[in-house]
Amino acid sequence: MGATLGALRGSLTFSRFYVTGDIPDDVPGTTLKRIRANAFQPLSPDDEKNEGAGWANIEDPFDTDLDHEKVFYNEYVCLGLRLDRWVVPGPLLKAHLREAEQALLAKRGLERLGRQAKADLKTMVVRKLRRQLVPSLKSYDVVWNLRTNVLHLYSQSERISALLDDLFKRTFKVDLVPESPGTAADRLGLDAKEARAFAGIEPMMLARLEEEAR
Amino acid sequence: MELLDLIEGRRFMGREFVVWLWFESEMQETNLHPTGADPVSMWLEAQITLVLEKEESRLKGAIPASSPEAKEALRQGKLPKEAKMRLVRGEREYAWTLKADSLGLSGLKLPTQLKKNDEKHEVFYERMMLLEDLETSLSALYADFVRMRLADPWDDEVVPLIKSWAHGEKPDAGAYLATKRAVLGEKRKKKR
Repeated sequence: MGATLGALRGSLTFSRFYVTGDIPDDVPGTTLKRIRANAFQPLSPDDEKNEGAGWANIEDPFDTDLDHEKVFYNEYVCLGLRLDRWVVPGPLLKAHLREAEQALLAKRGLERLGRQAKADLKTMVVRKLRRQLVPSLKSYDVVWNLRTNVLHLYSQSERISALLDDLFKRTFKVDLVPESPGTAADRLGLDAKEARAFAGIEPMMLARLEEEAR
Repeated sequence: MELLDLIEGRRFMGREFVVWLWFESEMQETNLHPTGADPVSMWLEAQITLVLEKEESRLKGAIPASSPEAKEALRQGKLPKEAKMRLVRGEREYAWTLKADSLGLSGLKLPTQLKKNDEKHEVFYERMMLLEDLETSLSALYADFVRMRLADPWDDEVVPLIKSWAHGEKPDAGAYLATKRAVLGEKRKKKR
């Protein structure tokens, strides 16, 4: 795995979220057990799913034996969102599948395989190939500031945001609201007049009327 | 308002925020005074991408936002989708790309002092403190924009000035600042 750019080093690229809902007063004291329960579990070649996600040490994605010292840095909850995927190269799969298909046809004395037989064969070949590979590993830094309840995910991928949303809610039993122009404005404590204007806001037009008429 | 509408239905405000920052920066010669936060010097630099539906203008250069092409793109109805920015607060200097639709920051360079070989937790705390300082400035600027955007004078007084600026004219900076003081000053009084 290459060096990550995130909370600990390098330039920063991130998405922000607001942590809302029933946030415990003592997050370190009440959540470590659930963090450990949602720690990353290694993939098995026989898994039906192609990928798996869970928490890891922010400093070392291979370390999933999480304890207080590895997760809680003063007012920050620091975690690695580890995502492993089986990536079987297409040409390799194709070549092995063709070989397995021909062997099966010869064994059964058939000319063609049915759809189900082909699917079963593919599953078998994929599992066999997985045993010769290691899953690809990526880890994304997640830092939750307990004082401001702002969370930074060091990724701007929507897919990784969705994974975080699922894992975070499952672990901490709180909500995550993604920062966006609308949610950021909504959190400003708008008065009644501003709230009415906000509800009916329309995009501004910078072209002048005479240009629009052309 | 439903969360989905709040997010998807208001994304254009991020693009308008970048236009406003750009306008503010040019009107005030980069010296911005966000309400409730320290003054900063801020400007757009290096690259700006403006879009209207599928049409895109990507401009590069030292300060592409000052180029006639950038204003021309605004006049065509294009708005900034992303822009590289630089902010100086005291002795600290930050540079990043702002993604307007999400307000996400990418490639943010922090003015760190500690080196990676220093005590690792200290390096982390320094980075988080510097990041929070920048976010305080950006949040205060965004709050000022939203207050201005939702106030009565926006359509009748501010938009004509921004249009005039986008058309390469020299808008009345005094009139703009008076409007801004009236809107934001009133908010400050109400807060007390």
